[in-house]
Amino acid sequence: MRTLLETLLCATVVACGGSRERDPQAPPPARPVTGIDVPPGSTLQQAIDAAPAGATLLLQAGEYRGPFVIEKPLHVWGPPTAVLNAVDGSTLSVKADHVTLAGFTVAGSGQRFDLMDGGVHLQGDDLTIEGVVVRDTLFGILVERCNRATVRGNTVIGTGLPAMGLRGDGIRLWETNDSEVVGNTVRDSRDVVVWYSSRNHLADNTVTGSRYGTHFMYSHDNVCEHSRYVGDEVGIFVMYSHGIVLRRNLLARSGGAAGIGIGLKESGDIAVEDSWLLDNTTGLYIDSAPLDPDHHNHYLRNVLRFCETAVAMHASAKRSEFKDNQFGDNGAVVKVGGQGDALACEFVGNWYDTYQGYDLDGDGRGDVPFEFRRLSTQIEARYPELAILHGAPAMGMVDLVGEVLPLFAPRRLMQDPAPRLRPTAMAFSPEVDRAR
Amino acid sequence: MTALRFTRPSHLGAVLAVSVLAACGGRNASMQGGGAGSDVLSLMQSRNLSEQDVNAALKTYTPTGRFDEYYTFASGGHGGNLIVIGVPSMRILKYVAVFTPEPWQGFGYGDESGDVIKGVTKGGNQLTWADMHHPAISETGGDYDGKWIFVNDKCNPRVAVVDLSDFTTKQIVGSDLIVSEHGAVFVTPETDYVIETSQYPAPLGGGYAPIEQWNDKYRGAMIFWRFDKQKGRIVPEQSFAIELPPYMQDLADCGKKVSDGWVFCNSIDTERAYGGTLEGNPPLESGATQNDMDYLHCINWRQAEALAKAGKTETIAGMRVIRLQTAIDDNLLAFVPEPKSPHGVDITPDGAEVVVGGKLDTHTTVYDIKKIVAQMAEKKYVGKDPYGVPILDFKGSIRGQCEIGLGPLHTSFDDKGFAYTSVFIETVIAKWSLKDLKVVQKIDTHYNVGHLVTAEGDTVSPDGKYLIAMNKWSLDRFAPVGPLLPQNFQLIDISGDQMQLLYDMPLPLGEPHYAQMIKADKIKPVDVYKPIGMNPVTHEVDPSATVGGKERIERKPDGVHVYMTAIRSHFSPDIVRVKEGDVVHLHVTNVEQARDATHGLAIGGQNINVSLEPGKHCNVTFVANRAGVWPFYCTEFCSALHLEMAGYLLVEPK
Repeated sequence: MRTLLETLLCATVVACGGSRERDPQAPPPARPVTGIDVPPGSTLQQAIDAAPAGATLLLQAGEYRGPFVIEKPLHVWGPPTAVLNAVDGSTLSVKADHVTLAGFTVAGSGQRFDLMDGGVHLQGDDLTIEGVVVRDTLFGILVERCNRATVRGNTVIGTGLPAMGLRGDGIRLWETNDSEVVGNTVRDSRDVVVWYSSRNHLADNTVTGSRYGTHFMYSHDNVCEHSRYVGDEVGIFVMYSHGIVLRRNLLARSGGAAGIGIGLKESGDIAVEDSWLLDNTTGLYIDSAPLDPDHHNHYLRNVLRFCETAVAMHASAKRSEFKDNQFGDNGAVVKVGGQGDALACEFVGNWYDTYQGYDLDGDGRGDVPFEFRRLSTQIEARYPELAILHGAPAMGMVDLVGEVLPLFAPRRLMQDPAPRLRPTAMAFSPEVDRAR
Repeated sequence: MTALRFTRPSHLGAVLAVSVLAACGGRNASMQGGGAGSDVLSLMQSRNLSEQDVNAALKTYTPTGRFDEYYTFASGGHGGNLIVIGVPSMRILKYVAVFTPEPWQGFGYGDESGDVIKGVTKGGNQLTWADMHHPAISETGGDYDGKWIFVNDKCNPRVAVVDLSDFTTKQIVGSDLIVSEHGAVFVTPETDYVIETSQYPAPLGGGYAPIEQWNDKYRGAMIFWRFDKQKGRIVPEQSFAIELPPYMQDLADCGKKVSDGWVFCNSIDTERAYGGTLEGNPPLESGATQNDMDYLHCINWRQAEALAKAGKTETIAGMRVIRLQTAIDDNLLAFVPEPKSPHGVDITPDGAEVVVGGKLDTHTTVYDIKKIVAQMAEKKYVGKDPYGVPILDFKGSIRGQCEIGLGPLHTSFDDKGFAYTSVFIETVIAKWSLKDLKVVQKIDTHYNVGHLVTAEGDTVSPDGKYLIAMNKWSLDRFAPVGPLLPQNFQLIDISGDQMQLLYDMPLPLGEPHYAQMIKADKIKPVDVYKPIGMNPVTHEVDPSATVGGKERIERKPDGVHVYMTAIRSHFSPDIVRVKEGDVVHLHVTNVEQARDATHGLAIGGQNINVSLEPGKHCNVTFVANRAGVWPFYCTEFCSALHLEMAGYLLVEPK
């Protein structure tokens, strides 16, 4: 049964996010009506230098050899067949305000990590990069110390090197605030990074085959929504940040021993809502979050299914509300390290596929609490090496023994006083196939 | 039943057996106990212990009279003193006063050992604390020899020498060349040199330069303190340093075996950010982490030593310094990129590779030293830093990377080819195979593990067996003690295939950073000071030492000299008469030779308390500046008549 479900689910996930053939998602930006034509060749830098501030440069199909630097307000448009490349340094650097880059392709860059060689390196205010394809570069799009940047509809294709450490970041927001990162596709890259960056809006992005789908660090009051993270090592990790809203995202197939759908470390006032966390090794990973006594975290209306562990806590978490979520087909609902438990968390009105209670008053809520106190999970927590037997009949027998012999009394790890008999309807479901 | 499918039948069988025992239980199955309620199963039930808990207890419990298998020497952080812990019992065996006055040992409260800490001042300011980070046991052939342990002070760059024959501090040296340090201390495989590397750049030799002149006027340096093994002392005149660019140099490690003669040091803030949040600059933390890579410093110290001997140095603040340009010209320094705010740099036991963990990376990077040395020899560079230091190709210098988890810090090794890396952000220890660079197990720590130490893990022959995770936070692990919480040392058994947590030890004596774990049989301390009258600072019989029957009080031009003995249970003389304003020179010898027959000598009104271990001699000088009657007495409970071990200092008014 589970295998079948899993197969179906994976097929859905592949269709809705894992396809390699779907980018770019949006049609390329239209050619501006007027502008200065710059034919392929080595004259682009001269054209940039010669253009008056605010001018529009129109590239054409063909190759432009960089690296290039823009140090004045400017618009640069090109068709996807206009390709900027370089073999040293960052291919296109912007150090000015009010620059727009649209439509063209950046292929190739220097390969030095210590110089952060990348495809496009933005520094300035009110910059826009839209519908640009970046490939074969070390880093993709670096957005550094920008305010009000717009990063929309771009595609970054990483090197896909087997060693993640030898890949660069796909998109990197650094000390960048009040910006829009919308509708981008990143694949086979290292991370999408949001560091020291606050009040940004990330939406409708797709990150696949990468390490950290999005990594928030010391970045506050950001929203990340309607995005899909499939086949990354970690979908979203939030560290040392507060005021983050993660909603209507799909986080699936975060695999490997450290695979995590959404991870939180020492972060508070986080809302995880209406999201699908499917087939991750660990659905939610919670490490000392929230830490600040004034902070509360909320996990509302999410689907957690087909995870080895739906919710893993490094130690007993507090000030955390789990409401109206769906827990099904997981190896364990909760695992807590450090011999702790999740009893200080408020689980209310979630649906659990393993709930065996009843609803005599017909209010849709079970009349007896749901408790998760599985012996095998407990034994596995104590003997991590037994995790290899996870799901094996032997561990099933251990659980059975635990149930029939009350002397065992496995420890209660969490309790939901009002479990739902049926899952709540999801407000959001990832489109079956957006490409169609 | 499908029990045949078990891959580890014996282990699971044991678990099930114990479980079933517990379930069907019973007293029949219990071990010998002390009566009702003390059989093992009842105890387990009443104390809510699992089989695993009991297993861990059996591995750590050390009955009375038994000794531990290992000593661990943990730095005391900003407590400034060194903590000695027995493993596996995790009992504190000693608290060695090094930089911070400690009255039990009399350190800083009167006798000459206290003068050791006054030896190095900063701008004339007396220092009474230190930020001790990284202890290093002396080595012979790259293996711990158990003779000395060196420790550093990050805040006011100093290095101390602790003699493990009596667990006392013998020497503190410091140089005004640098104003802070962190990559300290690390010893060369024969303990020829003790390495101390600056952290926060500043003008070399001290002095002022506006911070805007950071790039031009600020510098780092690595100091090579020459250690004389015969004398057991650092020889500042034979020491030298190498000037480095104004990056924040971080941890270091000395090559061994095939890499003997090299030292590797990492760096952060190659961005050369210096903060200035009120001046429109980004905070240091983001400025200094902006680049994806910093630079591993590869230094040929043998060649540097030859240059220093050849006099190709410039003396700054009394230290012979190889200038950066000289180091570049003589090809003894090169950089290799290293990922993302690197922290630990640890050489493998065979000396062939360096493992670097980046605080913000998810990998450890394993550098092949052979490749580094070859590129340097061929002068095959991909570029130069702004100071002209050659940069080697990253990919051409590594063997590979191991994907560890977020925030790998420090790596230590065992005897079976495994490496153990502390992973700060993920709060785990990762065990991984050096051979195929794959993680085999992770174990949670509570919380935020910093350094880790394995038994002799940074030598040429690690022992495996034990690992201590040195956790920065303890949060909910111990009974609450107010807002300042202890550190949490977690002892982990690494002798089997899987790591097993054995014991949580609260450590409330400062904030340890690194530690050294050494086999106990390598430590051979003396029981008592011999011959009687030994001055532990000079390690010779003190000229002022006295013996029973020769006690006396002599008035000399420089003051009143009191030649005193201590023996259970009296001081002799026990009445000392001086005049107000006299300079009093107290020369006191504990003439006992019985083990543990230690006395103390405290004098009222003078802030004096010395420790007199058997055979030890102390010299105490003070001005009897207040007329009055001042009892002195023994502070270390020594016998049935300890209370009576007292006397009077009578200070007559002028």
